[in-house]
Amino acid sequence: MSKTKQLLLFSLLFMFCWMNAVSQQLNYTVTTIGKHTDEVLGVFVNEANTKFASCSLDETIKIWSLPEGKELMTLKGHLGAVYNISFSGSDQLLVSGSEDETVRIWDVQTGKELKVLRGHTGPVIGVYFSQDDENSMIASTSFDKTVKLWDVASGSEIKTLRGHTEATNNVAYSYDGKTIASCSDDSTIRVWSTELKATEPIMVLRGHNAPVLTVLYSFDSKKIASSDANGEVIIWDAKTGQIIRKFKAHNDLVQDVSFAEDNKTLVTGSLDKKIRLWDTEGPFLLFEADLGVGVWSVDLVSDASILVAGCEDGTVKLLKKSIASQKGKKK
Amino acid sequence: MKKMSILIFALIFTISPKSYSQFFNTVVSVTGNIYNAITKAPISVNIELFDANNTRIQKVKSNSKDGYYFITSLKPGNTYELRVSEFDYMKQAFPVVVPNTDKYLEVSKDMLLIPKKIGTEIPIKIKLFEFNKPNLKNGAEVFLNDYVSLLKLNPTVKVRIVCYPDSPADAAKNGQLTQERSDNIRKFLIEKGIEQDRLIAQNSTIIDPNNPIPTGKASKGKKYVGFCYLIIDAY
Repeated sequence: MSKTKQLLLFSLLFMFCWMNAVSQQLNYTVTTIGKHTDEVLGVFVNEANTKFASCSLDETIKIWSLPEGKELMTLKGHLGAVYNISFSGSDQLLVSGSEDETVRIWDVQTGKELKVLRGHTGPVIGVYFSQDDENSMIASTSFDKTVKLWDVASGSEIKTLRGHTEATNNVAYSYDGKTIASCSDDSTIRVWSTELKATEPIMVLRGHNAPVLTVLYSFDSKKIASSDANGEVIIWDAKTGQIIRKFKAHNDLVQDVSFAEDNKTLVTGSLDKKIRLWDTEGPFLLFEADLGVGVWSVDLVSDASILVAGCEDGTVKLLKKSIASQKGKKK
Repeated sequence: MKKMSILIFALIFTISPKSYSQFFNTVVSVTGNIYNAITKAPISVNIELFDANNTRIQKVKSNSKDGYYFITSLKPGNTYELRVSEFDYMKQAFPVVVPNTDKYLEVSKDMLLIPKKIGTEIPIKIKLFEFNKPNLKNGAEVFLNDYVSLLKLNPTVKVRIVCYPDSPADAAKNGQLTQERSDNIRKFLIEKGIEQDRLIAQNSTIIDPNNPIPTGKASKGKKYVGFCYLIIDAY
């Protein structure tokens, strides 16, 4: 056997072993844990990884336990689809945004509606709690093209950020609390200072060629991930606004993405019925599952051992890392 | 005694410059944009700010280019009301709650003004009803109270309530459903003190021409329930 053939054989063997190792390491079991009566538009795992919330076109929010996936309560009050939800940094409060043009704050323990915030002049598409322990602020986005900041204690609308030229789809606070990122049908992402005096964006990020549907910071606040209606995902340097990586993640729109605690593992879900886990420093596809139904929303527990999916048929699914694969998990 | 008081005040402000700053320098403003509720075009109107004692604090005019307005001198922890009273628009009032703060703050309030014109269709964009059901949902009062306030502030205005169906099914059923919906809105407004001769309830057997049922990709993540409108018949 020639040296070239030997090398080729060795390479193939190595590739086989590596791929086998990867697939063994990342094997998830899919379980449907419950159902809304209509499409599930958002899911959000709390900071402690003990609960997650889901929201739906059926106008309700449900709270579920983790890792069991037991339905704990249903929150009713919105008069329209609930498009998005977010836990506060302390996990005590939940915020929701709805087609009924309101932002509502809920007590997670009791399920009681604490405040109804009105001020948007269109459906509220995105909401995000500031991730400080004081539960001090909420950011929201809307078909009215604005980003609004709310003081939680008084329920006052304390700032309106203008600049997007089309509906604003989603918003996220950085974990260091210094900036907010918003994304829009105008295909841009705008990064804003949380300083109340600032009114102009710090950066306008251009790179998507379709409406940008979601935006999210990594836990270290160094990266921003965004996804669009063409199925593309971009990872941005949060400080400079430079594109770190851009890749076609799915064949249909990607409504939701979420970072794991390692700041590089990213989960994406799409209406192409697939949920995918990426190493964004690759980008390598670490895992994919065809759920057989369009996926509107995804989230994960911080070590990515459980993925949560909200689906078009109203089901809420958990993808749990199998025991065999957990043995080989690097921690 | 007087000298003593002055001395104490001077001492406090000397020792604690922060307190001095808070006492004298905390400024809260309210700002936002004003649009025509129907066309969404920015409009130039006079806006008055009243405090909780119904005392007028300030009067400003919004910018015709972008509808922007700016009112300052609000106090932290207080509540106010912004009132707009223009010939071409319905009288409207908007509450402003100022949080407690020791830093400069701009509270935000965008406003949509409804043109005072016969035939103006005021859309009630919130889904007050379940799909194919005639009864008001729990929580509908939060939104309908806005129209109670609007009609009370404009006592000469008469409106027609028109509801549209959720599907292009049986015309007779749709007529019955939308009549019951309009009747239920009318009943709510009357119960809240609006004179019944100012309100007419009307049905519709056809799908709302201004808000058709979304199809194809546009229908994803949406559930269609026909809108209701208040149509100005007289003012």
